[in-house]
Amino acid sequence: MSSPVERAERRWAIVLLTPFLLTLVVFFGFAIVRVFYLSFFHYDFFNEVEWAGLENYLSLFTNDLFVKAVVNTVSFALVTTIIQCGLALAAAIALNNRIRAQGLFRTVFYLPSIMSSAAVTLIFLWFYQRNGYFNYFLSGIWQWRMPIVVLFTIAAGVHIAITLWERSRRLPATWMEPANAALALLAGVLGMSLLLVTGIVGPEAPSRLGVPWLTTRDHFGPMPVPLWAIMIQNAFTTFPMYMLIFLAGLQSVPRHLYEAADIDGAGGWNKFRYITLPSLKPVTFLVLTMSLIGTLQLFDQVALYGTATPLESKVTLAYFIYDASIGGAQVAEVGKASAAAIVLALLTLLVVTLQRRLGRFTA
Amino acid sequence: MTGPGALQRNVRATIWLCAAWIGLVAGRAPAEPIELRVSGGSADQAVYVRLFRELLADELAAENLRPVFQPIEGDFSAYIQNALSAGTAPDLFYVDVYWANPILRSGKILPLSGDLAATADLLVPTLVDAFRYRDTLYGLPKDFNSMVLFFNKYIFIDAGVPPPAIDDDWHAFKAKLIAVREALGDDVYGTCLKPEYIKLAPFLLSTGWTPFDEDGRTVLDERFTRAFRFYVSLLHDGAGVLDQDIGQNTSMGCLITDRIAAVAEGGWSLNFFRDQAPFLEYEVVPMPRDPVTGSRGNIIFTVAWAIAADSPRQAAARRLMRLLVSPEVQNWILEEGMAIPSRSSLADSPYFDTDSKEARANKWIFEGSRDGNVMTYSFGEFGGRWVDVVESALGAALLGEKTVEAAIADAQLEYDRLTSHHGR
Repeated sequence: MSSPVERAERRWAIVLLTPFLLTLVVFFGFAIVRVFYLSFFHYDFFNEVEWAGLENYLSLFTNDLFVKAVVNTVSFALVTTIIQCGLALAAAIALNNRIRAQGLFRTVFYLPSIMSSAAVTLIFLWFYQRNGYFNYFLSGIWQWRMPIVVLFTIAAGVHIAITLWERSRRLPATWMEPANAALALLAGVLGMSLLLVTGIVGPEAPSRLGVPWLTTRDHFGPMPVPLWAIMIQNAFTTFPMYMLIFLAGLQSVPRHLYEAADIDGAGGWNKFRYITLPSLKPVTFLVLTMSLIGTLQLFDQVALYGTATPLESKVTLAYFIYDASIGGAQVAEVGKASAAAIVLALLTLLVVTLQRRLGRFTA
Repeated sequence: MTGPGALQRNVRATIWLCAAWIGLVAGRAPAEPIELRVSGGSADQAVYVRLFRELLADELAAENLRPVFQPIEGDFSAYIQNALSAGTAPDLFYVDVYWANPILRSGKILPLSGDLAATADLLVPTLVDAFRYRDTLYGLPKDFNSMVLFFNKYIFIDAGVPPPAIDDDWHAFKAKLIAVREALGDDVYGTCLKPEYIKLAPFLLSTGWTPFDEDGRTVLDERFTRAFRFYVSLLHDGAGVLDQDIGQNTSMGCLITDRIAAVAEGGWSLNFFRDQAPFLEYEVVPMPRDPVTGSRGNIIFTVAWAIAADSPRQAAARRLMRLLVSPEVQNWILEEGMAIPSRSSLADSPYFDTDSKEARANKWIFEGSRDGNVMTYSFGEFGGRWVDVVESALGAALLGEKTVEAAIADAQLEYDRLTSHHGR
């Protein structure tokens, strides 16, 4: 039997939770039940609902646009999650070090995530124009590809040589030694400059890359090219938030673990592999879950690209649902949109469950 | 001597007198005007506020109406569908021909009869027919636009090439664009192209092709192929450039760069040129003719006024609708250069003979509604889905991702799939 204090606590918990629970019931509970109900009916906002059985669900799988939406959504979620989580972790590790103007860097890195999605999309629309800055930047890299390859080849060669030489002298040199890497890069720059001056290596003739980033229907790998463009934008605006979460996680890793590793002579990679990564496991799970859910439900950036991009090259499940339910110039198909919404919910649940199981398995 | 009975009588008489006075005063006071909610795109707010306050002030007072224009930002069709479905729609609102079908068949719009149906007989018939559903009229078109060819006079003078002419056919038009490019070099192009149905439609329709056959199917026949191939050839033969390749998103934007000789655009461009390039020396001619049929084709964009069936102020909304399509209002809109009104009789308006480039442009835009094979920009219940298919094919062909034949074959498959399960 519970004590009066426990009963009072329970009462207060219910009182304090009530406003949130009410919001949840009205805006989520009711909506989910309503969507599930409508997924078994034909409905267009104006006429009475008409029983459809499983027709809405079955019609989805013969609908090319829906199939494209599923493939696009899953590909986008996996690719974007890997890229933005990797970026976020790298940026968090970099900003966790004691560097000059640390506060400034943290603020600058975080800025993209507080910018309005509409404003960022407008900037990226210009950025991705066929004669826009992105193609200009890529054209520059393409033109200078030979000197760039030479620079990194020399740097890699020097780095390997230094490491092997140090090891031959029985020094504790690791492949990830930052000082050696900096020296190798400097050697690469010097070597490449020499080759440039002597004319042995040089840039190609200027040429303009005219990739139609937003208007094409071509695929690159698992996704249409426009979706890659949206992925870059999405990663740019979202990774700072995950970076912040990783940063918080990094700061809670006990310092004594690193000190003990230092005493044992562990290198940077080993400290990262055996201390940082395991300590960040709960944070990584949170970030991966948030990223997967966010990317599976990608809508706003796709919608903001509007008619600049062909529908089949950008359609995601969330956009498919919007397109079918907000009829616009055609009759709204609320039943079909509801069935697609249920599929999206199940897909999200499946992916997160899989990720959770996988996380537990690798633990 | 006065007793309590007399006092009571006096009080009662006083109350009656007061009540009679109040009744008299209230009866003589003007009735409160009926407030009507009128909704349209946010761009038109200034026009309607001016119209209600200036031009129609006396008429509105006489009719005892007080319209309030409520502009809607963003997707008006989504707003009005939701509002009609929820029973919160304004009394009077815009219906664009492009998304009219789901609205007209919703049962949430008041069918027009009596004097309003009679007024419809005075409007351009192609426009009125676009707002009928199963022989019932639901909207009165207020204005319209068609496609015309805008060209930069000085580019043709600099190139020493004759400008586009009224009777040019496709080939003559294309030859002039190529000649401009050859004369002025790599930085100037003949025309700006975009994978949009509205740009392709004047060519398609001039062949006599129609989006739907008698059975409601879309058939991409030899006429479609001929026009489609011609449009794509404008890019591949060096007569034009994609708008995105010169950093523009619209053909209007292309023309004001002084790098494009001519563009196909609608009448909405006039406002854009007035604001963005007031010194641009442009002229306008009708779209070129098909060399085989000798006809022109055109596509009409129109917006109608409609009344919500749930409106508790239907009689007042009908009175306001009548005022909004009256000859006075339509003349005012025409003379202000805002749009081409829908009354057939305005074809003879002296405005069109005014010596100004805008008046000349408006004349050809008006003529576009009745010259050759003219269709409204509407696709029944398929709406945007129908347009997506042709635009996808056009985009793939323009970007060289598919051959013309493959793009059309794929589009035909899509149309077969789209139109086979539905009746229009």
